[in-house]
Amino acid sequence: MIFSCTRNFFEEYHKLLKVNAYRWTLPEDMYEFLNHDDPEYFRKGSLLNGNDGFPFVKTRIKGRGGYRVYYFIIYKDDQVILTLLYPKTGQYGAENADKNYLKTLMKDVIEDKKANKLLTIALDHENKSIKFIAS
Amino acid sequence: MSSCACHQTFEEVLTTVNTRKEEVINYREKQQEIIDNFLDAVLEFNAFLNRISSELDTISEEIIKLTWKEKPEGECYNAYLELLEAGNKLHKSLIMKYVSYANFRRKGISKNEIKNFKQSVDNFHESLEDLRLRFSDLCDDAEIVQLTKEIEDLFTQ
Repeated sequence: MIFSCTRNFFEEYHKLLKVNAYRWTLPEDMYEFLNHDDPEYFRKGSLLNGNDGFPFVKTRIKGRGGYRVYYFIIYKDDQVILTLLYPKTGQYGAENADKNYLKTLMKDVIEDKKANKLLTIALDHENKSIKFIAS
Repeated sequence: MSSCACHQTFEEVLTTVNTRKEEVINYREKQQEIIDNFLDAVLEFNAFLNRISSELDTISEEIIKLTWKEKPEGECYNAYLELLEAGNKLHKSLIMKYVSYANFRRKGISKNEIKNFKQSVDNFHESLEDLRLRFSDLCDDAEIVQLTKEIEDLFTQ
C-alpha cells in the first residue's frame, strides 16, 4: 500500500502532537491503522461520497473515543490519501465534518495533487510510528 | 450462698450488656446484608450498562455498513427514513437515561461503565449522522459528484 496525505492532514497531525494527551499515543495509533497491506481493510469506515469514483471514507481509529480519519482509497495504485484527522475527546475533540468542509477536503486533494504537494507517509516499523516525506 | 446487696444491680447491668451486644451483632449482620445487596445492585447495573453499550456498538457497525449500499429507492427509501427517525428517537431516550445517571457519576458509582455507555451513545448518533450525510446530504450534491469525478480523473491519468 502507498500512503500519502494532504498538507492539511500533515498540519492537523502535528498540531495534535503538541498536546500531551495525544502526543504519546497518536504516532503508534496511526502506525497501527496504516500497517495493513489489503486495500479492503480501509473500507471498514463510513462511505461518504457514493459508489461512483474512488471511495471517500471516514473511519474510527482506536474505537469510539479515539480518532476520526477521512481518506480516499485510490484502488488503481493501492493508495490511501489521508485528508483529515481529529480526536473525539480532549482539547481538540471535534464533531463530524459537515458537507462544506468535506468539499474543502476534496479540493485540498485536487490542489495538492496538481501542485505535487501531497506528502508520502512511510511506516517506521522500528519505532512503530509514521514519517512524512515531501514529494 | 447469700448474695451481696449489689448482686441484683450487677445482674441487671450484665443483662443489659448482653442484650446490647446481641443488638450490635445483629446490626452488623444487617449492615453487611445491606452492603452486599448494594454491591449486587451495582454489579447488576454495570452488567446492564455493558450489555447496552455492546449492543449499541453492534448497531452502529451495522449502520456504517449501510453507507456502502446504493442510494435507497422506493420502499427501501421509506425504510431508510424510518430507520433515521427510530434511531434519533432512541438516541434521545438514551441521552435522557445518561442524564438520569448524574447522581451515580457524582458519587463515583459505575463511573467507567457510564462513561463507556455515553461513548457508545455518541458513537451510535455519529453513525446515524454518517448515514444521513451519505444519503440525504452528499449523494445528490452536484459539487460532491463533480469533485469525486475530478479526483478519479486526476489519479487515473
